[in-house]
Amino acid sequence: MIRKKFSHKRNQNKQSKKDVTNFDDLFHVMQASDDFKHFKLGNINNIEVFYYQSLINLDKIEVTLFEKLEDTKIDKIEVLENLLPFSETEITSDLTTIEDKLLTGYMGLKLTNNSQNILLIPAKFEVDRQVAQPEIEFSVIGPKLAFIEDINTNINLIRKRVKLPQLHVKNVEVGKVTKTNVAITYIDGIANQDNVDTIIQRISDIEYDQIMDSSFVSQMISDNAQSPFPQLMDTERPDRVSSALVEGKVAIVVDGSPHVLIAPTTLVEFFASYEDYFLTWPIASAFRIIRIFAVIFSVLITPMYVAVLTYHYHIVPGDLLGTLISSRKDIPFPPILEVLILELTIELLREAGARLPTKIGQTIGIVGGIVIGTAAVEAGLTSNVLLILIALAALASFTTPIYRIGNTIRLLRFPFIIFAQMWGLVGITIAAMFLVTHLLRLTSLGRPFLEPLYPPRWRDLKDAVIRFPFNVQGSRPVITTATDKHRINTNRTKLKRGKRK
Amino acid sequence: MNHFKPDITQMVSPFLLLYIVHATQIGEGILSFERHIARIAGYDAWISIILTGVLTTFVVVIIWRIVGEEQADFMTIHQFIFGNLFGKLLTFIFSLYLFAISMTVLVSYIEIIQIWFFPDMSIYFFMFILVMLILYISLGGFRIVVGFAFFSVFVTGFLAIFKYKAFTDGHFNNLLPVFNTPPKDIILAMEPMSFSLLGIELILIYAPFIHRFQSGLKWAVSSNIFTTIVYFFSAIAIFMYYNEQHIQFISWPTLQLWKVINFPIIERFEYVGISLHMIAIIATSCLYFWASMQCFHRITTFTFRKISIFCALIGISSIFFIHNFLIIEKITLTLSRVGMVLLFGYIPLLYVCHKIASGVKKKHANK
Repeated sequence: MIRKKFSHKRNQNKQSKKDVTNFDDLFHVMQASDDFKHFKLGNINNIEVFYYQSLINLDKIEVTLFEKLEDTKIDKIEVLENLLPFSETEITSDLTTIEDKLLTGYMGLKLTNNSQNILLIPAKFEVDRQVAQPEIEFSVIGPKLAFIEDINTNINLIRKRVKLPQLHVKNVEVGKVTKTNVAITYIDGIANQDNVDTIIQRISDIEYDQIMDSSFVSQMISDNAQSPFPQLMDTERPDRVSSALVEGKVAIVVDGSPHVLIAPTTLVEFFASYEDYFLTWPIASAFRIIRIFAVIFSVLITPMYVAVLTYHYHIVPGDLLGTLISSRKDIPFPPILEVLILELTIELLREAGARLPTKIGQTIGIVGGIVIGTAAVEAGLTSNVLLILIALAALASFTTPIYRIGNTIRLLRFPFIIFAQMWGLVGITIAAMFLVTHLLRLTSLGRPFLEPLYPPRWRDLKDAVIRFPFNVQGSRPVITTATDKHRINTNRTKLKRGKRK
Repeated sequence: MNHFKPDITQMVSPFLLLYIVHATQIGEGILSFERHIARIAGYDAWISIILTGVLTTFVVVIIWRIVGEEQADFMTIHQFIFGNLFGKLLTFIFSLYLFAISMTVLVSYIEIIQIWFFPDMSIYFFMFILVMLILYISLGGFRIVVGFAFFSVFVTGFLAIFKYKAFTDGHFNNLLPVFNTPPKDIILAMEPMSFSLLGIELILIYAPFIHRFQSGLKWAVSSNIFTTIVYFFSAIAIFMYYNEQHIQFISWPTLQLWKVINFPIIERFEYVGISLHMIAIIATSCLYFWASMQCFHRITTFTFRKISIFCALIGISSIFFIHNFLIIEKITLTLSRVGMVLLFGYIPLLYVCHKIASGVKKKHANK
């Protein structure tokens, strides 16, 4: 029934488009907008010029067009094309082309004879911020470049690093109204064609009117949209994207978004900072392990507090129990309420800090962190042990290199806290089991999300929890099922024995 | 034979048999089996563990022979040998047994939680959540069930380390002199022991779900041996730590042993231990549940999803009838008898029948 309605509507749309049969009709539609300008030029005023003022670089018109066309007599549009010093010009009478081009920063020229042919001249008004430092995935060592909103600049940043003719870019237009340009980038001969086809298929199947950011695409094409876990990695680092492309993954660049999506991806990759590759492998591995520990700590510490102090105080050794009791003896709330109040405070601070301008945000941080924290303890509303734990847990949740997974981790602990309140440590185990099952069921582009842990693929463990040195990373990850599996000739990376230096 | 071929996305590599078989075998039994075997064979019961391990290894080999190159599963074989109707009936009885084990394992663990954690807990809601968890895992398909079992093995492996306390504090002299008990008792102690090693019969159900099944024999056998070793060391640890008579009065010797362990931040380890061991319980129960549902699904026309939800509801309601420690003991005992008959009686018999039937059918085909 609904489908019928829609198809009916679609037909109507088609009909309304069909009403625009010639250029004059289109002209009328466009004229309704005030930034659509048109005037006549030339000696005998036989050249009609029209454009959207907001899309056009006005210098181009003023400097070139007026000078050249001031006193010319032209009766053929081809002559006009040759006369003007622009590249990528086009003569057409196709209405849809004219409409599209005019709306993407072209200028239209028409002779006042009855010809339907229109000369389109590119005069795009380019305004975009400069390529700047990454803000979310900042790294101390290594390149300091981040993507910006312009799609061409972003692809340029990738191409600069991957100098290969096999680097293919496939453009798809998505969004009924916004008609956003989405570029699917991959290296032909390395990336698995199935992955590329799946992504192109899913993106072209998107049925939505607006695509404002890559996260729109990400939510619409991920395997399980109900999951709190992101199944496509979004990054603002060109080096990370280039490296993923070389590994055989596929990148999705969306116009107007400074974040590029990478697929397929796995859970462990979300805990790998790109800086890990700039450090020597023992140090990088140590940092990775710290990060994974931080995540587990962040999810489990407050539920443990609730469980232990509500049910299993036997677990706590005598000396530690003294400390806990003395910090909690004046607290009027049960542990669960105490934890929920403080967790909520931290979430409030984070949310307020994220929404406010930087300078005010800092003030809020100081006010929240120091004033509210100390005051809450002094007023006897929360215990200072818990304050330390909550602050540590919040800190730990921010160690994830990808911001998106940090959010997931912060919210993940609330179900754990509830289960801990219900059944103590057993409850935490049950919650953990639900979480593991959920992760097991997740897939990214149909590939298991928990790989290489499960299904166990020992070869992929070389770059999972521990980042092994480059000379043993001889093959591309199994997860990408790359067409070309070998990265390097590992025979040549072996140290030559018996040779003195 | 009409073969059942699962979807390729649900199949797992033969290497994972190492984890699947181990996870099915290790369940609630590891916490209490020492009491059962020591009752009959005393300190010499460790010999029965090894004997049972050897016997079950033979059963594994027989299972591989039954399944054969065609990767036929239990249902196919039953229908091949006994005909459509009778074969289905046998499969139905078998799946009832699997379902009963799946729920008994859960209920008996709830018993432990009630005794050690929350004496006045509402078990109905708890059971409901656990069955929901099992349903959530099972509906993900075989690959998810195996994934869960895979992780559970690491947890039990971690917990097994904490038997070290018995080796540092125990007395090895307890075990000496060896062969103090009559051989008959050692043989008899194999009966309660075989309940702890139950789980290999599930291979018959999930055989088609394993890639290159024939090459998996080495993994299944090594898994069975590994389980035997785990039980062996566990029993040695408990025998070293406790007096022979004392063991009879402790329901769960391992938990009592964990009580002694303390760390700077954990005073009583058994609370952590019981919580973590639950993962192994869920893995076992889930594998049995999945296998049982697979049987039901194959012999009826219902979808896997529908039959699972229906049986989960039955499973939850089962707790209204099993509320007593004695009833649980009784059911466990019955199921262990059934399991033993199944392993050492029915499966070899099935092998012989299969040989005869395939021989007869081949002869007829040649004519």
